[in-house]
Amino acid sequence: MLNPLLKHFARIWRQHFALQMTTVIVLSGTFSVIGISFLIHQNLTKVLTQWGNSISMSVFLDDEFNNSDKLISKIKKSEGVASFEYVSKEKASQLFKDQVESYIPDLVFDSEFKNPLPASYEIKFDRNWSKEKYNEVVRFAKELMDFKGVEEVSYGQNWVENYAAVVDKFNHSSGLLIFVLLTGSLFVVGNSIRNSISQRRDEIEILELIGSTKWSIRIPYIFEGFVLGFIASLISIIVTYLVFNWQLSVIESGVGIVGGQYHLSFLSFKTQFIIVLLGSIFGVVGAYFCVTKLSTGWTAHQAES
Amino acid sequence: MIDFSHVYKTYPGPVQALSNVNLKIQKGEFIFLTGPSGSGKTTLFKVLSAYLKPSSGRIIVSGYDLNKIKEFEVPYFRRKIGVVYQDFKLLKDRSVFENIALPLEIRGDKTSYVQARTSDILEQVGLYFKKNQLPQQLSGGEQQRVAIARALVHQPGILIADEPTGNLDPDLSEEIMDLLDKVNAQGTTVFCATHDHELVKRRAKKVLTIQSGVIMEKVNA
Repeated sequence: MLNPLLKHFARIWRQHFALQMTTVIVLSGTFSVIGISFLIHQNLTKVLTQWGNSISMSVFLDDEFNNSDKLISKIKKSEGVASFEYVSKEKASQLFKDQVESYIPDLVFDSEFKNPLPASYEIKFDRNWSKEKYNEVVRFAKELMDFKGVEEVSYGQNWVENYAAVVDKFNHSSGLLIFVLLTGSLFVVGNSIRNSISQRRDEIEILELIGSTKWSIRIPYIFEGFVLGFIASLISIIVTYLVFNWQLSVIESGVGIVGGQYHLSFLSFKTQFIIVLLGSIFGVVGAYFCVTKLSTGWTAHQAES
Repeated sequence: MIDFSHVYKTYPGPVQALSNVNLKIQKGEFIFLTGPSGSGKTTLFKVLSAYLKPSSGRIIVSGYDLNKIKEFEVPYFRRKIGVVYQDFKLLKDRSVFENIALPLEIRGDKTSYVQARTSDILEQVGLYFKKNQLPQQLSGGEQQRVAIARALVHQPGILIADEPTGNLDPDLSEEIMDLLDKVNAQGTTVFCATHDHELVKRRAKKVLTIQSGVIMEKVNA
Protein backbone atom coordinates (compact mmCIF):
# COMPACT_ATOMS: atom_id res chain seq x y z
CA MET A 1 0.00 0.00 0.00
CA LEU A 2 2.72 2.45 1.03
CA ASN A 3 5.06 1.65 -1.84
CA PRO A 4 2.83 2.97 -4.68
CA LEU A 5 2.08 6.08 -2.60
CA LEU A 6 5.77 6.77 -2.04
CA LYS A 7 6.43 6.15 -5.74
CA HIS A 8 3.69 8.65 -6.60
CA PHE A 9 5.17 11.20 -4.21
CA ALA A 10 8.70 10.69 -5.59
CA ARG A 11 7.39 11.13 -9.15
CA ILE A 12 5.59 14.35 -8.21
CA TRP A 13 8.76 15.69 -6.54
CA ARG A 14 10.91 14.79 -9.54
CA GLN A 15 8.55 16.42 -12.00
CA HIS A 16 7.46 19.49 -10.03
CA PHE A 17 10.41 20.05 -7.72
CA ALA A 18 10.21 23.87 -7.69
CA LEU A 19 6.49 23.90 -6.89
CA GLN A 20 6.78 21.26 -4.18
CA MET A 21 9.78 23.04 -2.64
CA THR A 22 7.95 26.37 -2.64
CA THR A 23 4.96 24.74 -0.95
CA VAL A 24 7.15 23.20 1.74
CA ILE A 25 8.91 26.52 2.37
CA VAL A 26 5.65 28.49 2.65
CA LEU A 27 4.09 25.82 4.88
CA SER A 28 7.23 25.63 7.04
CA GLY A 29 7.09 29.40 7.51
CA THR A 30 3.41 29.19 8.45
CA PHE A 31 3.92 26.37 10.94
CA SER A 32 7.03 28.11 12.34
CA VAL A 33 4.90 31.13 13.25
CA ILE A 34 2.43 28.76 14.87
CA GLY A 35 5.29 27.01 16.71
CA ILE A 36 6.68 30.31 17.95
CA SER A 37 3.21 31.35 19.12
CA PHE A 38 2.93 28.08 21.06
CA LEU A 39 6.42 28.72 22.45
CA ILE A 40 5.55 32.22 23.69
CA HIS A 41 2.24 31.01 25.11
CA GLN A 42 3.94 28.13 26.91
CA ASN A 43 6.57 30.37 28.51
CA LEU A 44 4.19 33.18 29.47
CA THR A 45 1.99 30.60 31.16
CA LYS A 46 5.03 29.06 32.79
CA VAL A 47 5.96 32.39 34.37
CA LEU A 48 2.44 32.62 35.80
CA THR A 49 2.67 29.04 37.08
CA GLN A 50 6.03 29.70 38.66
CA TRP A 51 4.56 32.79 40.31
CA GLY A 52 1.66 30.65 41.47
CA ASN A 53 4.08 28.18 43.01
CA SER A 54 5.81 30.91 45.00
CA ILE A 55 2.75 32.96 45.81
CA SER A 56 2.76 34.70 49.20
CA MET A 57 0.50 37.23 50.85
CA SER A 58 1.19 40.00 53.33
CA VAL A 59 -1.65 40.94 55.69
CA PHE A 60 -0.78 44.35 57.18
CA LEU A 61 -2.29 45.18 60.55
CA ASP A 62 -2.95 48.54 62.09
CA ASP A 63 -1.56 49.44 65.49
CA GLU A 64 -4.86 48.79 67.27
CA PHE A 65 -5.26 45.26 65.90
CA ASN A 66 -6.36 42.88 68.65
CA ASN A 67 -8.17 40.19 66.69
CA SER A 68 -5.28 37.79 66.15
CA ASP A 69 -6.99 34.60 67.37
CA LYS A 70 -9.81 34.90 64.86
CA LEU A 71 -7.45 35.90 62.06
CA ILE A 72 -5.08 32.98 62.76
CA SER A 73 -8.04 30.63 62.87
CA LYS A 74 -9.24 31.96 59.48
CA ILE A 75 -5.78 31.57 57.94
CA LYS A 76 -5.38 28.05 59.31
CA LYS A 77 -8.75 26.97 57.98
CA SER A 78 -8.05 28.29 54.51
CA GLU A 79 -7.19 25.65 51.86
CA GLY A 80 -3.79 25.85 50.24
CA VAL A 81 -2.02 27.75 53.01
CA ALA A 82 1.39 26.13 53.41
CA SER A 83 2.67 28.27 56.28
CA PHE A 84 2.25 31.64 57.91
CA GLU A 85 4.35 33.80 60.17
CA TYR A 86 3.69 36.83 62.36
CA VAL A 87 6.07 39.74 61.65
CA SER A 88 5.96 42.32 64.40
CA LYS A 89 6.56 46.04 63.85
CA GLU A 90 10.04 45.65 65.32
CA LYS A 91 10.93 42.67 63.15
CA ALA A 92 9.59 44.48 60.06
CA SER A 93 11.75 47.48 60.96
CA GLN A 94 14.79 45.27 61.38
CA LEU A 95 14.17 43.48 58.09
CA PHE A 96 13.79 46.83 56.36
CA LYS A 97 17.05 48.11 57.86
CA ASP A 98 18.84 44.92 56.79
CA GLN A 99 17.60 45.34 53.24
CA VAL A 100 18.57 49.00 52.87
CA GLU A 101 21.76 48.82 54.91
CA SER A 102 24.04 48.90 51.89
CA TYR A 103 22.23 51.93 50.39
CA ILE A 104 21.62 53.97 53.58
CA PRO A 105 24.18 52.76 56.20
CA ASP A 106 23.34 55.61 58.61
CA LEU A 107 19.76 54.47 58.96
CA VAL A 108 20.78 51.38 60.96
CA PHE A 109 22.20 53.52 63.77
CA ASP A 110 19.69 56.38 63.55
CA SER A 111 18.16 56.57 67.01
CA GLU A 112 15.54 59.05 65.81
CA PHE A 113 14.22 56.63 63.16
CA LYS A 114 10.50 56.28 63.80
CA ASN A 115 9.22 52.91 62.70
CA PRO A 116 6.44 53.50 60.07
CA LEU A 117 6.10 49.81 59.24
CA PRO A 118 3.03 47.91 60.37
CA ALA A 119 2.95 44.44 61.89
CA SER A 120 1.86 41.75 59.44
CA TYR A 121 1.13 38.12 58.82
CA GLU A 122 3.20 36.60 55.95
CA ILE A 123 1.29 33.72 54.34
CA LYS A 124 2.76 31.21 51.90
CA PHE A 125 0.59 29.03 49.65
CA ASP A 126 1.25 25.57 48.23
CA ARG A 127 -0.88 25.82 45.11
CA ASN A 128 0.00 25.60 41.46
CA TRP A 129 -1.11 28.44 39.24
CA SER A 130 -4.43 28.43 37.58
CA LYS A 131 -6.96 31.13 36.97
CA GLU A 132 -9.46 29.46 39.31
CA LYS A 133 -6.91 29.19 42.10
CA TYR A 134 -5.85 32.78 41.57
CA ASN A 135 -9.49 33.76 42.01
CA GLU A 136 -9.52 31.83 45.31
CA VAL A 137 -6.52 33.88 46.47
CA VAL A 138 -8.35 37.08 45.52
CA ARG A 139 -11.45 35.93 47.43
CA PHE A 140 -9.35 34.97 50.44
CA ALA A 141 -7.65 38.39 50.42
CA LYS A 142 -11.05 40.10 50.39
CA GLU A 143 -12.20 38.02 53.36
CA LEU A 144 -9.09 38.98 55.30
CA MET A 145 -9.67 42.65 54.47
CA ASP A 146 -13.05 42.40 56.21
CA PHE A 147 -11.31 41.73 59.54
CA LYS A 148 -11.29 44.72 61.82
CA GLY A 149 -7.75 45.97 62.22
CA VAL A 150 -6.51 44.64 58.88
CA GLU A 151 -5.14 47.63 57.01
CA GLU A 152 -4.13 46.10 53.69
CA VAL A 153 -3.64 42.75 52.02
CA SER A 154 -0.91 42.52 49.41
CA TYR A 155 0.03 39.63 47.15
CA GLY A 156 1.50 41.40 44.10
CA GLN A 157 -1.97 41.63 42.63
CA ASN A 158 -1.29 44.58 40.33
CA TRP A 159 1.67 42.90 38.67
CA VAL A 160 -0.06 39.55 38.38
CA GLU A 161 -3.31 40.99 37.10
CA ASN A 162 -1.53 43.07 34.47
CA TYR A 163 0.61 40.13 33.48
CA ALA A 164 -2.37 37.79 33.35
CA ALA A 165 -4.21 40.33 31.18
CA VAL A 166 -1.24 40.41 28.79
CA VAL A 167 -1.21 36.61 28.68
CA ASP A 168 -4.95 36.56 28.02
CA LYS A 169 -4.65 39.10 25.22
CA PHE A 170 -1.74 37.20 23.72
CA ASN A 171 -3.68 33.95 23.88
CA HIS A 172 -6.66 35.47 22.13
CA SER A 173 -4.66 37.23 19.43
CA SER A 174 -2.35 34.26 18.82
CA GLY A 175 -5.41 31.98 18.68
CA LEU A 176 -6.81 34.18 15.93
CA LEU A 177 -3.44 34.28 14.17
CA ILE A 178 -3.12 30.49 14.32
CA PHE A 179 -6.63 30.10 12.94
CA VAL A 180 -5.83 32.42 10.02
CA LEU A 181 -2.51 30.68 9.34
CA LEU A 182 -4.03 27.22 9.45
CA THR A 183 -6.78 28.32 7.08
CA GLY A 184 -4.09 29.76 4.82
CA SER A 185 -2.16 26.49 4.98
CA LEU A 186 -5.25 24.72 3.61
CA PHE A 187 -5.12 26.95 0.54
CA VAL A 188 -1.35 26.51 0.13
CA VAL A 189 -1.63 22.72 0.22
CA GLY A 190 -4.77 22.85 -1.92
CA ASN A 191 -3.05 24.99 -4.53
CA SER A 192 -0.10 22.62 -4.73
CA ILE A 193 -2.36 19.59 -5.07
CA ARG A 194 -4.51 21.36 -7.66
CA ASN A 195 -1.37 22.00 -9.68
CA SER A 196 -0.29 18.38 -9.40
CA ILE A 197 -3.72 17.28 -10.53
CA SER A 198 -3.92 19.63 -13.49
CA GLN A 199 -0.45 18.57 -14.66
CA ARG A 200 -1.40 14.90 -14.35
CA ARG A 201 -4.85 15.15 -15.90
CA ASP A 202 -3.89 12.74 -18.70
CA GLU A 203 -2.62 10.19 -16.21
CA ILE A 204 -5.83 10.44 -14.18
CA GLU A 205 -7.90 9.93 -17.30
CA ILE A 206 -5.89 6.85 -18.29
CA LEU A 207 -6.16 5.41 -14.79
CA GLU A 208 -9.93 5.88 -14.91
CA LEU A 209 -10.15 4.25 -18.30
CA ILE A 210 -8.35 1.12 -17.15
CA GLY A 211 -10.50 0.70 -14.06
CA SER A 212 -9.05 2.68 -11.16
CA THR A 213 -11.59 3.43 -8.48
CA LYS A 214 -12.31 6.94 -7.28
CA TRP A 215 -10.33 6.51 -4.09
CA SER A 216 -7.37 4.71 -5.61
CA ILE A 217 -6.90 7.85 -7.74
CA ARG A 218 -7.54 10.28 -4.91
CA ILE A 219 -5.50 8.67 -2.14
CA PRO A 220 -2.05 9.38 -3.66
CA TYR A 221 -2.91 13.10 -3.79
CA ILE A 222 -4.19 13.06 -0.21
CA PHE A 223 -0.99 11.27 0.78
CA GLU A 224 0.95 13.98 -1.04
CA GLY A 225 -0.86 16.62 1.09
CA PHE A 226 -0.10 14.61 4.21
CA VAL A 227 3.61 14.37 3.43
CA LEU A 228 3.83 18.07 2.55
CA GLY A 229 2.17 18.99 5.87
CA PHE A 230 4.27 16.47 7.80
CA ILE A 231 7.60 17.59 6.34
CA ALA A 232 6.72 21.30 6.71
CA SER A 233 5.68 20.89 10.35
CA LEU A 234 8.87 18.94 11.15
CA ILE A 235 10.93 21.71 9.55
CA SER A 236 8.94 24.29 11.53
CA ILE A 237 9.91 22.55 14.79
CA ILE A 238 13.57 22.84 13.79
CA VAL A 239 13.11 26.50 12.79
CA THR A 240 11.33 27.25 16.08
CA TYR A 241 14.17 25.57 18.00
CA LEU A 242 16.79 27.63 16.14
CA VAL A 243 14.86 30.86 16.76
CA PHE A 244 14.45 29.89 20.44
CA ASN A 245 18.17 29.24 20.91
CA TRP A 246 19.11 32.37 19.02
CA GLN A 247 16.85 34.59 21.11
CA LEU A 248 17.17 32.72 24.42
CA SER A 249 19.67 34.99 26.14
CA VAL A 250 17.90 38.15 24.93
CA ILE A 251 14.50 36.89 26.10
CA GLU A 252 15.78 35.57 29.42
CA SER A 253 17.44 38.84 30.27
CA GLY A 254 14.14 40.56 29.40
CA VAL A 255 12.15 38.19 31.58
CA GLY A 256 14.84 38.52 34.24
CA ILE A 257 13.77 42.13 34.74
CA VAL A 258 10.44 40.80 35.91
CA GLY A 259 11.88 38.00 37.98
CA GLY A 260 15.26 36.34 37.70
CA GLN A 261 13.97 32.96 38.85
CA TYR A 262 12.09 32.33 35.61
CA HIS A 263 13.71 30.04 33.06
CA LEU A 264 12.41 29.69 29.53
CA SER A 265 11.99 26.28 28.00
CA PHE A 266 11.51 24.94 24.48
CA LEU A 267 8.24 23.39 23.33
CA SER A 268 7.30 20.25 25.22
CA PHE A 269 7.28 16.96 23.32
CA LYS A 270 3.48 17.00 23.51
CA THR A 271 3.31 20.43 21.87
CA GLN A 272 5.80 19.39 19.18
CA PHE A 273 3.65 16.34 18.51
CA ILE A 274 0.53 18.55 18.29
CA ILE A 275 2.24 20.83 15.74
CA VAL A 276 3.30 17.87 13.57
CA LEU A 277 -0.19 16.37 13.91
CA LEU A 278 -1.81 19.71 12.98
CA GLY A 279 0.52 20.04 9.98
CA SER A 280 -0.25 16.54 8.79
CA ILE A 281 -4.01 16.89 9.34
CA PHE A 282 -4.19 20.23 7.55
CA GLY A 283 -2.13 18.75 4.70
CA VAL A 284 -4.64 15.94 4.39
CA VAL A 285 -7.67 18.25 4.67
CA GLY A 286 -6.25 20.76 2.15
CA ALA A 287 -5.62 17.95 -0.32
CA TYR A 288 -8.98 16.30 0.40
CA PHE A 289 -10.92 19.42 -0.60
CA CYS A 290 -9.10 19.40 -3.95
CA VAL A 291 -9.63 15.76 -4.76
CA THR A 292 -13.27 15.34 -3.79
CA LYS A 293 -14.36 16.27 -7.30
CA LEU A 294 -11.32 14.79 -8.99
CA SER A 295 -12.64 11.44 -10.09
CA THR A 296 -16.25 10.54 -10.61
CA GLY A 297 -15.62 7.60 -12.90
CA TRP A 298 -16.85 9.72 -15.80
CA THR A 299 -14.15 12.39 -15.57
CA ALA A 300 -12.68 11.21 -18.83
CA HIS A 301 -15.93 12.17 -20.49
CA GLN A 302 -16.09 15.47 -18.60
CA ALA A 303 -12.52 16.36 -19.57
CA GLU A 304 -13.38 15.84 -23.21
CA SER A 305 -16.75 17.56 -23.31
CA MET B 1 -21.75 -10.36 -24.66
CA ILE B 2 -22.48 -6.97 -26.28
CA ASP B 3 -26.08 -5.97 -26.85
CA PHE B 4 -27.13 -2.55 -28.17
CA SER B 5 -30.85 -1.91 -28.38
CA HIS B 6 -32.23 1.34 -29.85
CA VAL B 7 -29.20 3.34 -28.70
CA TYR B 8 -29.06 7.06 -29.36
CA LYS B 9 -26.34 9.53 -28.50
CA THR B 10 -26.85 13.23 -29.06
CA TYR B 11 -24.18 15.85 -28.46
CA PRO B 12 -25.06 19.47 -27.64
CA GLY B 13 -25.87 21.34 -30.81
CA PRO B 14 -27.71 19.05 -31.21
CA VAL B 15 -25.59 16.60 -33.19
CA GLN B 16 -26.93 13.10 -33.60
CA ALA B 17 -23.84 10.90 -33.19
CA LEU B 18 -25.62 7.57 -32.82
CA SER B 19 -29.10 6.88 -34.09
CA ASN B 20 -31.12 3.79 -33.26
CA VAL B 21 -28.13 1.46 -33.04
CA ASN B 22 -29.09 -2.18 -32.63
CA LEU B 23 -26.25 -4.61 -32.34
CA LYS B 24 -25.48 -8.03 -30.90
CA ILE B 25 -22.00 -9.48 -30.63
CA GLN B 26 -21.48 -13.00 -29.34
CA LYS B 27 -18.60 -14.30 -27.26
CA GLY B 28 -15.48 -15.09 -29.29
CA GLU B 29 -16.48 -13.07 -32.37
CA PHE B 30 -14.12 -10.76 -34.27
CA ILE B 31 -15.97 -7.82 -35.75
CA PHE B 32 -14.72 -4.86 -37.72
CA LEU B 33 -16.54 -1.54 -37.55
CA THR B 34 -15.84 0.64 -40.54
CA GLY B 35 -17.04 4.01 -41.64
CA PRO B 36 -15.73 7.40 -42.69
CA SER B 37 -14.40 9.95 -40.22
CA GLY B 38 -17.19 11.51 -38.19
CA SER B 39 -19.57 8.62 -38.86
CA GLY B 40 -19.91 7.71 -35.18
CA LYS B 41 -17.31 4.94 -34.77
CA THR B 42 -15.50 6.60 -31.90
CA THR B 43 -18.73 7.61 -30.18
CA LEU B 44 -19.97 4.01 -30.41
CA PHE B 45 -16.74 2.79 -28.81
CA LYS B 46 -16.83 5.46 -26.12
CA VAL B 47 -20.35 4.49 -25.19
CA LEU B 48 -19.33 0.85 -25.25
CA SER B 49 -16.43 1.46 -22.85
CA ALA B 50 -18.49 3.62 -20.43
CA TYR B 51 -16.55 6.69 -21.50
CA LEU B 52 -19.78 8.38 -22.54
CA LYS B 53 -23.33 7.82 -21.40
CA PRO B 54 -25.87 7.07 -24.12
CA SER B 55 -28.72 9.56 -24.45
CA SER B 56 -31.20 6.72 -24.61
CA GLY B 57 -31.49 3.04 -25.39
CA ARG B 58 -30.12 -0.02 -23.70
CA ILE B 59 -26.55 -1.29 -23.77
CA ILE B 60 -25.60 -4.52 -22.06
CA VAL B 61 -21.91 -5.36 -21.96
CA SER B 62 -20.57 -8.27 -19.90
CA GLY B 63 -23.72 -8.18 -17.79
CA TYR B 64 -23.61 -4.42 -17.10
CA ASP B 65 -26.44 -2.17 -18.28
CA LEU B 66 -24.42 0.91 -19.27
CA ASN B 67 -27.41 3.23 -19.24
CA LYS B 68 -28.17 2.38 -15.62
CA ILE B 69 -24.65 1.73 -14.40
CA LYS B 70 -23.88 3.42 -11.07
CA GLU B 71 -20.89 5.71 -10.83
CA PHE B 72 -19.05 3.40 -8.43
CA GLU B 73 -19.60 0.42 -10.76
CA VAL B 74 -17.86 2.03 -13.74
CA PRO B 75 -14.27 1.08 -12.67
CA TYR B 76 -15.33 -2.53 -12.07
CA PHE B 77 -17.00 -2.67 -15.47
CA ARG B 78 -13.87 -1.27 -17.12
CA ARG B 79 -11.84 -4.06 -15.55
CA LYS B 80 -13.97 -6.54 -17.50
CA ILE B 81 -13.03 -5.06 -20.85
CA GLY B 82 -9.80 -4.10 -22.58
CA VAL B 83 -9.63 -0.94 -24.66
CA VAL B 84 -6.98 0.05 -27.20
CA TYR B 85 -6.91 3.67 -28.30
CA GLN B 86 -5.63 5.22 -31.48
CA ASP B 87 -3.38 7.54 -29.46
CA PHE B 88 -2.21 4.63 -27.24
CA LYS B 89 -2.88 6.47 -23.95
CA LEU B 90 0.30 5.26 -22.26
CA LEU B 91 1.76 6.87 -19.15
CA LYS B 92 4.84 8.68 -20.38
CA ASP B 93 6.75 8.62 -17.09
CA ARG B 94 6.42 4.86 -16.56
CA SER B 95 8.26 2.03 -18.20
CA VAL B 96 6.70 -0.40 -20.64
CA PHE B 97 6.50 -2.99 -17.86
CA GLU B 98 4.84 -0.55 -15.42
CA ASN B 99 2.32 0.54 -18.05
CA ILE B 100 1.30 -3.00 -18.82
CA ALA B 101 1.18 -4.02 -15.15
CA LEU B 102 -1.21 -1.16 -14.24
CA PRO B 103 -4.55 -2.99 -14.69
CA LEU B 104 -3.31 -5.82 -12.48
CA GLU B 105 -2.03 -3.45 -9.82
CA ILE B 106 -5.30 -1.54 -9.91
CA ARG B 107 -7.14 -4.81 -9.41
CA GLY B 108 -4.93 -5.47 -6.38
CA ASP B 109 -3.26 -8.64 -7.67
CA LYS B 110 -0.26 -10.04 -5.80
CA THR B 111 3.12 -8.72 -6.86
CA SER B 112 4.38 -12.17 -7.85
CA TYR B 113 1.37 -12.68 -10.14
CA VAL B 114 1.72 -9.17 -11.58
CA GLN B 115 5.38 -9.86 -12.40
CA ALA B 116 4.68 -13.23 -13.96
CA ARG B 117 1.60 -12.22 -15.94
CA THR B 118 3.14 -8.97 -17.23
CA SER B 119 6.30 -10.79 -18.31
CA ASP B 120 4.14 -13.39 -20.06
CA ILE B 121 2.12 -10.82 -22.03
CA LEU B 122 5.32 -8.90 -22.87
CA GLU B 123 6.67 -12.13 -24.40
CA GLN B 124 3.43 -12.56 -26.37
CA VAL B 125 3.65 -9.09 -27.93
CA GLY B 126 7.40 -9.50 -28.48
CA LEU B 127 8.48 -6.60 -26.28
CA TYR B 128 10.01 -8.33 -23.29
CA PHE B 129 13.46 -7.03 -24.19
CA LYS B 130 12.12 -3.46 -24.08
CA LYS B 131 10.30 -3.79 -20.77
CA ASN B 132 12.35 -1.10 -19.01
CA GLN B 133 12.10 1.50 -21.73
CA LEU B 134 9.79 4.49 -21.63
CA PRO B 135 6.97 4.68 -24.21
CA GLN B 136 8.54 7.58 -26.08
CA GLN B 137 11.63 5.45 -26.69
CA LEU B 138 9.51 3.02 -28.74
CA SER B 139 8.23 3.19 -32.32
CA GLY B 140 4.53 3.78 -33.01
CA GLY B 141 3.92 0.08 -33.67
CA GLU B 142 5.69 -0.89 -30.47
CA GLN B 143 3.68 1.62 -28.47
CA GLN B 144 0.49 0.20 -29.93
CA ARG B 145 1.62 -3.30 -28.97
CA VAL B 146 2.22 -2.05 -25.43
CA ALA B 147 -1.31 -0.59 -25.44
CA ILE B 148 -2.72 -3.92 -26.63
CA ALA B 149 -0.71 -5.79 -24.01
CA ARG B 150 -2.10 -3.49 -21.32
CA ALA B 151 -5.63 -4.04 -22.62
CA LEU B 152 -5.16 -7.80 -22.45
CA VAL B 153 -3.03 -8.34 -19.37
CA HIS B 154 -6.02 -8.72 -17.05
CA GLN B 155 -7.58 -11.24 -19.46
CA PRO B 156 -10.79 -9.37 -20.33
CA GLY B 157 -13.61 -11.08 -22.20
CA ILE B 158 -13.82 -8.24 -24.72
CA LEU B 159 -11.15 -6.25 -26.48
CA ILE B 160 -12.32 -2.96 -27.97
CA ALA B 161 -9.83 -1.37 -30.37
CA ASP B 162 -10.53 2.10 -31.70
CA GLU B 163 -8.50 2.63 -34.86
CA PRO B 164 -5.54 0.69 -33.48
CA THR B 165 -3.69 1.06 -36.78
CA GLY B 166 -4.72 4.66 -37.43
CA ASN B 167 -1.24 6.04 -36.77
CA LEU B 168 0.75 3.16 -38.21
CA ASP B 169 2.25 2.32 -41.61
CA PRO B 170 0.84 -0.72 -43.56
CA ASP B 171 3.48 -3.19 -42.33
CA LEU B 172 2.97 -2.26 -38.70
CA SER B 173 -0.80 -2.31 -39.23
CA GLU B 174 -0.60 -5.91 -40.42
CA GLU B 175 1.53 -6.77 -37.44
CA ILE B 176 -1.05 -5.30 -35.05
CA MET B 177 -3.89 -7.08 -36.84
CA ASP B 178 -2.02 -10.39 -36.58
CA LEU B 179 -1.75 -9.77 -32.88
CA LEU B 180 -5.50 -9.10 -32.59
CA ASP B 181 -6.17 -12.28 -34.57
CA LYS B 182 -4.02 -14.20 -32.13
CA VAL B 183 -5.91 -12.72 -29.19
CA ASN B 184 -9.23 -13.63 -30.79
CA ALA B 185 -8.04 -17.16 -31.43
CA GLN B 186 -7.47 -17.46 -27.67
CA GLY B 187 -11.18 -16.77 -27.09
CA THR B 188 -11.34 -13.02 -26.59
CA THR B 189 -14.14 -11.15 -28.35
CA VAL B 190 -12.57 -8.43 -30.53
CA PHE B 191 -14.44 -5.36 -31.73
CA CYS B 192 -12.19 -3.25 -33.89
CA ALA B 193 -12.92 0.10 -35.52
CA THR B 194 -10.99 1.07 -38.62
CA HIS B 195 -11.44 3.06 -41.81
CA ASP B 196 -8.75 1.04 -43.59
CA HIS B 197 -10.87 -0.93 -46.09
CA GLU B 198 -7.90 -2.76 -47.59
CA LEU B 199 -6.95 -4.10 -44.22
CA VAL B 200 -10.52 -5.28 -43.61
CA LYS B 201 -10.69 -6.97 -47.00
CA ARG B 202 -7.60 -9.04 -46.27
CA ARG B 203 -9.19 -10.49 -43.10
CA ALA B 204 -12.17 -12.80 -43.35
CA LYS B 205 -14.18 -11.25 -40.55
CA LYS B 206 -17.68 -9.96 -39.92
CA VAL B 207 -17.87 -6.25 -40.82
CA LEU B 208 -20.30 -3.59 -39.66
CA THR B 209 -20.51 -0.24 -41.40
CA ILE B 210 -21.65 2.91 -39.73
CA GLN B 211 -22.65 6.14 -41.41
CA SER B 212 -24.05 9.29 -39.77
CA GLY B 213 -24.54 7.33 -36.59
CA VAL B 214 -26.56 4.57 -38.19
CA ILE B 215 -25.37 0.99 -38.64
CA MET B 216 -25.88 0.75 -42.39
CA GLU B 217 -25.08 -2.81 -43.26
CA LYS B 218 -23.85 -6.03 -41.83
CA VAL B 219 -21.58 -7.97 -44.10
CA ASN B 220 -20.04 -11.33 -43.51
CA ALA B 221 -16.76 -11.06 -45.32
